[in-house]
Amino acid sequence: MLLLRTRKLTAFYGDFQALYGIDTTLDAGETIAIIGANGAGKSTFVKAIAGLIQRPADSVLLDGKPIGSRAAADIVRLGVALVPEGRRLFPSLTVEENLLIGGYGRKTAWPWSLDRVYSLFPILKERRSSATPTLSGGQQQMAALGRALMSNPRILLCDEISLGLAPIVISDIYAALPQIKAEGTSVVLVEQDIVQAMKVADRVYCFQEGRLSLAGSPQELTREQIHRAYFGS
Amino acid sequence: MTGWLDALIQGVLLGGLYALFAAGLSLIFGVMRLVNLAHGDLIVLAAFAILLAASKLGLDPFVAVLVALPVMFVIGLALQYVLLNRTLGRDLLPPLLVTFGLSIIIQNGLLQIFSADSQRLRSGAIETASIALGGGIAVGVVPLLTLLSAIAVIVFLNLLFYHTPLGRAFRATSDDLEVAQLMGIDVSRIFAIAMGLAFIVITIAALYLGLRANFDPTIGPARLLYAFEAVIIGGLGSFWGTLAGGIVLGMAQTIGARIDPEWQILSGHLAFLTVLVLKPRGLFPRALD
Repeated sequence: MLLLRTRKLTAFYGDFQALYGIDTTLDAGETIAIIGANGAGKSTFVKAIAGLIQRPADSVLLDGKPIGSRAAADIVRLGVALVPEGRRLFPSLTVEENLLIGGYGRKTAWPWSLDRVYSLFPILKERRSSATPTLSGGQQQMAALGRALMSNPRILLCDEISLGLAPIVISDIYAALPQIKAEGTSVVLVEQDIVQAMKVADRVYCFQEGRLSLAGSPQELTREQIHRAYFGS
Repeated sequence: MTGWLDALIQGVLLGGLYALFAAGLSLIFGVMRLVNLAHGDLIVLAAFAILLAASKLGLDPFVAVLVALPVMFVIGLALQYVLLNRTLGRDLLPPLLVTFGLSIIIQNGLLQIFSADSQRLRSGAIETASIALGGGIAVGVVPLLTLLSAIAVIVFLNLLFYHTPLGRAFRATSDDLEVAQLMGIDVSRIFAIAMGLAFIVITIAALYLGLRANFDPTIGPARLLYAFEAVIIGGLGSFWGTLAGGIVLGMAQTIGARIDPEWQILSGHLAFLTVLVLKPRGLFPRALD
């Protein structure tokens, strides 16, 4: 069942056009990966969905209804949460307060609670009273992921959750994904790590200079196709 | 010796008033990084609001303030929604210019309505009542109430900021405006609530301003200066620091006045400059910044 759709999605930073008419779909329960080189517009894409960047009103549809004119605070209430690039935890809040603020505007108490996030990432429970700048990069990413889950999203947008982390830590974080998906949550992964993305995604979209250059399931795409879509020919 | 001890005690009590001036300023700056240049004039505006309620309804100022509080809260909310939210953004200049303009408008508006005459809030015997501490030292009841109110305001703000969901939203918004919106926080609403709260603190400060001394429409900017000095001496981002900053300023002034009455204001400024030179981040800066 179609959950989220972007239709001719465009986005600008001042005069600079970052996205040129992106068409994508996301089904309920599906995981898609957005791959592409630096500056391809991957982060802009998820920010535009989350409402942090202006976009045409009818270019983002949730359950078939346009949500492109909604502010970021409304979008999360509609069930779309973004884990922003670089974690961006609130430094003057403790780990637990960061998680609690994630549930600030949520409509339902189910399925994610403080206890469930702690069982997903036990280290966060140990560090619950710590200031977030004292956490390791991996722990910060877990807290950022947990914070987004606390809003009980139907769609989780993850922007570069593996960036700057050691491989072993990346596998720890990706190990949480099946449990998140088990709740019926759809996931949009923005990833530079193609191998990781191909492993977990049902479908892959590749961006190149603000345009969609390739789409397909990981099984049917060849290395050459991806290479060309990633770097251009 | 008694004279010096008396100066110290009176300084602490005066510090309570400055802490009340500063708490509202600190609250607004803390949540929305807005330097409110009209803060002093808003205190004077609130004092006139209490005066109006007291004289028109025949109330004691301590009761009239209860009438003024909700009115001022709503004015604060409206001011933020209608005007100040539009000025906030990457550029720091618009809010400075707009609040500077607001300061001029409030002063002249008050002059127009209430004239330049000095006013005072009258509350009968309590104004002159004092408690003898022995050894020739006595503390006035109103100054003591001022300090106790300042402590109550600071305790309340600390509880609100560090132990409630609203306080978490205040701190999160202050940390990162963009990500706060991703949490479902309606930032303009949070800012409006913060301004409404600041107006409550402003009105409490106005009560004691009017009870302790004469006021007229032009004294706002000097109150702003004391509020600024108290905030900066205490260290940005800490309410207890603001109280300490107010007390340091108050003590410096009364000790200066004890040396020579003409030195009162000057010694306050000197204490401020000394702290700025020795500890530029204030006496109790926030650990994380």
